[in-house]
Amino acid sequence: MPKYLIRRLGQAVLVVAGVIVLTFAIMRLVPGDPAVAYAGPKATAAELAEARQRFGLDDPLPVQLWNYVRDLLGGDWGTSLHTRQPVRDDLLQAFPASLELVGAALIIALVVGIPLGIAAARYKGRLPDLTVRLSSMLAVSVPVFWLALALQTVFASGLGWFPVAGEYDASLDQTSPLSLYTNITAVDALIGGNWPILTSTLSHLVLPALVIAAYPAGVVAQMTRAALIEESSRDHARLERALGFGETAVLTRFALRPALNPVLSLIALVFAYSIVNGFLVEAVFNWPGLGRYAADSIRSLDTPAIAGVTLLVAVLYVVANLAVDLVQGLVDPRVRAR
Amino acid sequence: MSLISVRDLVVRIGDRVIASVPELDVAAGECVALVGESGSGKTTTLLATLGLVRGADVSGKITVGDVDVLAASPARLREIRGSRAALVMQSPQAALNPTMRLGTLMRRALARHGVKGAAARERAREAVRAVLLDPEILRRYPHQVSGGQAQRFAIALALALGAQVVLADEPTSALDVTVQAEVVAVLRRLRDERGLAMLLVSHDLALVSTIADRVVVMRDGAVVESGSAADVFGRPRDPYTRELIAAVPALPESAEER
Amino acid sequence: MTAPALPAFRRTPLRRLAGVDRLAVAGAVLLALIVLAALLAPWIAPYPEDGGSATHPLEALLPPSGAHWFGTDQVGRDVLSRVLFGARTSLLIAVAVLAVSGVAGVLLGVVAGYAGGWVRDVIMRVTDIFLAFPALLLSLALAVVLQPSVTTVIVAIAVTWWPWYARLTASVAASVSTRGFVDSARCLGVPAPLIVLRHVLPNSLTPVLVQLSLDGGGVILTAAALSYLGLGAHEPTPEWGLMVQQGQSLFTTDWWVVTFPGLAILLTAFAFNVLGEGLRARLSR
Repeated sequence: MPKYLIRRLGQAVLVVAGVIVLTFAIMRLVPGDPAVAYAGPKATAAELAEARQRFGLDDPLPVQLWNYVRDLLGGDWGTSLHTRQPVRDDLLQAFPASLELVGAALIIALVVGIPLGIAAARYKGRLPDLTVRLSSMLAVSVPVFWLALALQTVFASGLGWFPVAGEYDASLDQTSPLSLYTNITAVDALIGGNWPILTSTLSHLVLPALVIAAYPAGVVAQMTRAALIEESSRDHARLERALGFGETAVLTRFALRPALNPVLSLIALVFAYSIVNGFLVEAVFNWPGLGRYAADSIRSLDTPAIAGVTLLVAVLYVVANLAVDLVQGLVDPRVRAR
Repeated sequence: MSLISVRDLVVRIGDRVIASVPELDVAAGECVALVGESGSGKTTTLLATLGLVRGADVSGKITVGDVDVLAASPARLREIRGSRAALVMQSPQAALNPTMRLGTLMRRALARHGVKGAAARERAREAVRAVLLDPEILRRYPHQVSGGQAQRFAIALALALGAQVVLADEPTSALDVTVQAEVVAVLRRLRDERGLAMLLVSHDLALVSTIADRVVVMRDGAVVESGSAADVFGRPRDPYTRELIAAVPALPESAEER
Repeated sequence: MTAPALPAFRRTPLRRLAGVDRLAVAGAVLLALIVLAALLAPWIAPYPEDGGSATHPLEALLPPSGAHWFGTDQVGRDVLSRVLFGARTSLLIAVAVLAVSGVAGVLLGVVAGYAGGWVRDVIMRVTDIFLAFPALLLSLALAVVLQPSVTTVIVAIAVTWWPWYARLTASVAASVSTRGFVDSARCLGVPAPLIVLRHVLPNSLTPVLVQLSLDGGGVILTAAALSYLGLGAHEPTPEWGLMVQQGQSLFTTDWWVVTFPGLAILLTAFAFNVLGEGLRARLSR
């Protein structure tokens, strides 16, 4: 295990280094001068020169890259051009909201996807199977921004069942202010016993979380189905049948646990994908997360901010993958032995 | 009275016959071996006795104890699986769920057949000791035990559930020679001491000659010869049987000596 | 173990068709219809000129009717016509992305798989880095720095898409390269590039083709998302994501402007997914 762990960590560090270089390279491609964007169109030559100096734009590229990496490691992720705040602070503010949204979506996806996958595997080739397969394919084919607009129009604007936008009712900040622990509103409200904000947040969460959950739920259902069918055709399933267990018991009490391994590692992939899918949904529901921040940054060609978001999500992906590998070691005794 | 009785068994996939056995009986304390090369239908016959052949048409009459397997309800079939006749498979470790401790599997199997709590623990320990394993093994995962241990554990499962019939599908072919001997010794002892009936599927004639009382030779889904082990090995009538025996050079003499 | 063998399968044409996964057939038919609609758009669209920059202010935002099945948009263009022309844009993007990233990925993958050693390590580490970016994220970053256009969308998505094919091809090619016929070609002194082209490449393609058809849906969705964010196609190009974006503020009052382009995206992505799933099920059997 230690050897495997070290190799795995080394790989992750290498990928993160590459991610930083690639982000830097993309940002150097920006048309237009970041100095102009910062100093404004009416800046004098002196102000421009000052801005250039400030961002180190006159240095050769390798030096700029070196400075970039040094600053990143030192916790300086640059200054956002549109909020004029350190990018790191902006991200720290926006990320918990995205995490809340995507976390809720992934929980929905697992709760819905796994039972559907089990049902499909149990009735393989029959109507429930076909229904699950088709609906999960539909779920992964739906454009999220469109689904977000549709649900918002029907269930919020139209029927009024859920709030139209935002994270919670802002007037609650006066009547029952929230004490912050994790910066994730729903979690903080739960810890602090702040029921008004908790219920408000949960009702605001429903629609955007459902939209984001569509894709992972479809993927999880398909993967659970495939893994269960594979697992239930193995030798151990034959022994379990020979011990008197029925198909449902073989699937849920024996095949499910080994089958959940690939589903689990899929969640890491899907997590980062869902964060980015969340960008589109956050824009529609005005959710104060990374997506709204990214959208604002894109509109104002805010290079440091875009680089910051890109980097954060990519690193998240690497970390999530690493975490899953480690968790898998805990769940699967075979990996643990490696 | 025979614990397993098969009459006019025919297993078909589409219009192809993959196993056809006119008559097969296994009595208590008796070991009957089905021999033949792979694809001869011997495993299919074995699985059919527990109604475990999937995706094929099975006809004829199979009785395990007093239960008519082909006529029994699915629930009744699940009841007799394990408790009347238990399966021991070829690859012992692949046959055990990799994410489950052996004790958990044993406990669930016992609970499935109505044995729970202290009685289940007692039965599990007793069965494991009967196959010469340390009960400590119940705390391990399949990858933490050797092939021979896993195979003996599979036999212990049958004992714990009170099965009177052991259906063994190539129980030794995935094991080392010395380990094979261990497993065979355990099987023989259980047959002799506890009067278990055994239906053994194997292509290993050396193994079969050391344990089988009667032998059924199959080829391409059909029975080509059957009789007592001494008759079949000593005076094979069918050319195919002779061919099989000739492939194991040391065998004919040793079989006749006994 | 003597598992029951599968029955001999009689290869009559009818049976062969029945053996093909019904899902794959359904997906192929659906996709063929969409392709046909795209190709024939100028002839079957009720108002072909509405596929471009025509405007009819007096007919703005008419609800669906006999004259305009899908209604009209904010400048009076027939939504059905624009949805039909939009199929051209989306399919063009999908085909271009899959072709570019497929060729690049397969070539790199085949080299990595055949060469092995450090060549494979370097190529695989580079794909690791690209794969750390969710496709939409990297395309987003790229689309920001390039000028918004259909070409930008194609480039941005292709850059993020090739590593999947490189990985897949590398693993298949590595196993193909260990087979006997490759060894014998090597022994006969056939030069390496020829071995790769003649033997390794053709034998590594099938899984990539299945993956390509599975990915069509993802490309369509990503392209639509980029255009929805204003980073891709722009007026007057008929593009489904752009149509949704332009009409989103009208959803409550004039639902048809947003609903039909969105359904078009859904249906096209669905067709690709059904086809891909069907092919995969068939292949893994």
